[in-house]
Amino acid sequence: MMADDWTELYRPQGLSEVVGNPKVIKDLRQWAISWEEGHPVHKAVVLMGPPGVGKTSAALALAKDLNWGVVEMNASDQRNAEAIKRVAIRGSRSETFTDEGEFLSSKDGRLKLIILDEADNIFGREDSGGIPAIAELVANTQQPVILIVNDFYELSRKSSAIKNSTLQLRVSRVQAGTMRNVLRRIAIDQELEVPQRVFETIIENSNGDMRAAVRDLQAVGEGNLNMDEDDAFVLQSRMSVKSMYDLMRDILHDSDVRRARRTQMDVDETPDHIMMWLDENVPLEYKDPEDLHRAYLHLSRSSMFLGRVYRRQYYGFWSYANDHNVIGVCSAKSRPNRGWVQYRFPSYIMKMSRSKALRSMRTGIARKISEHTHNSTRRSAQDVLPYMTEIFRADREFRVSMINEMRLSTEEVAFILEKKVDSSEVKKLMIESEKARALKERPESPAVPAVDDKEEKPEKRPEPKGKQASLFEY
Amino acid sequence: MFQAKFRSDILKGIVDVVSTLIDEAKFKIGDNGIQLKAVDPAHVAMIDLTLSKDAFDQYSATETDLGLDLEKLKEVIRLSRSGDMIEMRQDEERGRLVVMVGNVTRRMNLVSTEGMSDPKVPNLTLPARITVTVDELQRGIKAAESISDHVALNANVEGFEMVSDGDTDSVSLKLPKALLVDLQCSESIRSLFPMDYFSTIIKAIPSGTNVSINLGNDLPVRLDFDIAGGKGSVRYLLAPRIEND
Repeated sequence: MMADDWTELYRPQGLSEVVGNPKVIKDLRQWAISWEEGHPVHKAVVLMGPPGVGKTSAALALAKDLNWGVVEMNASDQRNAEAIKRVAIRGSRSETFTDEGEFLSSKDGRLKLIILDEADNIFGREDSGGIPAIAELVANTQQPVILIVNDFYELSRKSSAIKNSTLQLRVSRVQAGTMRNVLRRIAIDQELEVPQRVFETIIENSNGDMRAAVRDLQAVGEGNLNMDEDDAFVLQSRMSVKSMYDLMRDILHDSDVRRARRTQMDVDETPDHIMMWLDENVPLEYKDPEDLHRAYLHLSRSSMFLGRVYRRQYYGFWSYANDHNVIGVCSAKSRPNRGWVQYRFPSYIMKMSRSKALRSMRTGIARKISEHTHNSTRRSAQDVLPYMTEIFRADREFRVSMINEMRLSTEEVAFILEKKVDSSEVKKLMIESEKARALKERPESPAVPAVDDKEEKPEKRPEPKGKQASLFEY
Repeated sequence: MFQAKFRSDILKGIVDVVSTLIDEAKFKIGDNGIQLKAVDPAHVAMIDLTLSKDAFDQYSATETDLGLDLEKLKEVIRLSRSGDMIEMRQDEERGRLVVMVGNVTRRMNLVSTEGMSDPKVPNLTLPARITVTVDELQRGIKAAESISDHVALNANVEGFEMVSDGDTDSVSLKLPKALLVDLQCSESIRSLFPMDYFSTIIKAIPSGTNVSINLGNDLPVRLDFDIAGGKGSVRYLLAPRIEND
């Protein structure tokens, strides 16, 4: 029994056993009923939320409650556009055999729930067809579909179709009280004597992640069945993976320099990263201008050291940067701020990473322009692209000929027009330019019989293996 | 324990059919032969295959499960010519299967059968039963494949019909009673199926085989046919497509 994974062993067997998020559970149940009645408003549901809060559990519990079949594609399976088509899309068009070999007919409300777990990181870089495949699944499915994501933004940014045609339900972190009840129940079931202190430590460390909490309880339980109070401390040190948020609190909110330093050593982050976090969060905690002045003085010193690290490639300076970051900033305050502050992720990093795709798209287009204008890529981006963009948006003929001339991809066209990749304007335009290209490459009327083709073929043979177009160029 | 010697086309017959549905299979080895039951990952089709020990030239086994990667078995088949002998032996200590084709010895790791399901073939009442040589169906499939992604199977007292309706074109294959080996059907029956599943299984059945098609209205189709010269048999079930209304 001990070897089993408790997160599986104690997975909820029905929606009523899923803890927390009552609104989500209710909406999910209603959505399922609309499917059974045959007229769902939304064919697919997106369950979004942080890891370990019960998204997959809720989906599986729903299927169990309704006696539906389940096709689950999770992160461990091979997943790309091809696999989604082969398994999820094919499964979504037909009736069902269960793993036990039972036949389910949708006419009797016996459906097949298709679950795409971690749908936001299905697609690696090499696989660009993933999102269209999901969009197709969601649009044409005859069976209920649940997409499970941590970050819906990633998915919706790329496809408005997925965003508009799904029901989105946000699953939030599990509250401490709820968690305590679940952990207690498991402990009783496993005949574990767990001191209150250990429960609290586990709950605090889990930060609302039910799965992590159950795992930790199992780790505790498998080591020692009769724990005394000391185990809580062992546990604490074992699990002291500190986050950037802990570090921010120790530096900015508290005044214990030593502790802040210790936390910084525990946190696996580089000083430049920590500096950016401080830069974002110092003004949230420090209200006195004098304090701010002193804190930023240390940050600027830290930045100077980091510059030297970069120029000389001498990482010994990191320790100075760290001292300024941690000790300097921590001791810069005249008195601690009493209120509670929600720390923010550095907006600089966020902006840069959000614009990364756009920046590389821009460079890609500029590179194509530079090939045609004999400019440098930078010049093309600075001087040519803005004008080209304007004309491109205004003049339809220019659009079509530019797409064909520069072989602009759908993504690039969408970028220039500032439209989504799967918007109808972009699609139409691509079809139009496709037609224009076909027309251009075949200037003679299509009535020219195939015989001509054959006659010319021997002449074509000796040429280097090339594009079909070369046939018509002379 | 499992140890056997057999002609390579026996293995080919099995792998061709099974690999239309799954990549990894759990072969249940018994005293009297081999059995395999599986549902495909999309939960649309299932297969139940039995092969008697008489199909083998040599067979000795005690009950065990063998999890095998079908892609690897295909590689083994490619090594052999039709009629070649293949020898297989389970290496229980190392969890491997040792396969010998001529002078080539291939050792392959077994796949864990944990988590592989044990489906039971559902008890369905399918009123129509059409028996036909697979070659007749293969011609129809060839004509219909590119037309549409679904295919309707119809039967009535006069015969059997396969219809594929696409957006622009349509194809139908009509087999009157005279062209069938056997027809048992008292009413008019129709079900719609996904083309890709139906065509891959029909194409995987060796030429000359008699296939029984068991049909109902909006019910799964069950294909029954023999393999290994009657020493084994296959039941293949395919769930109907859900029709847009």
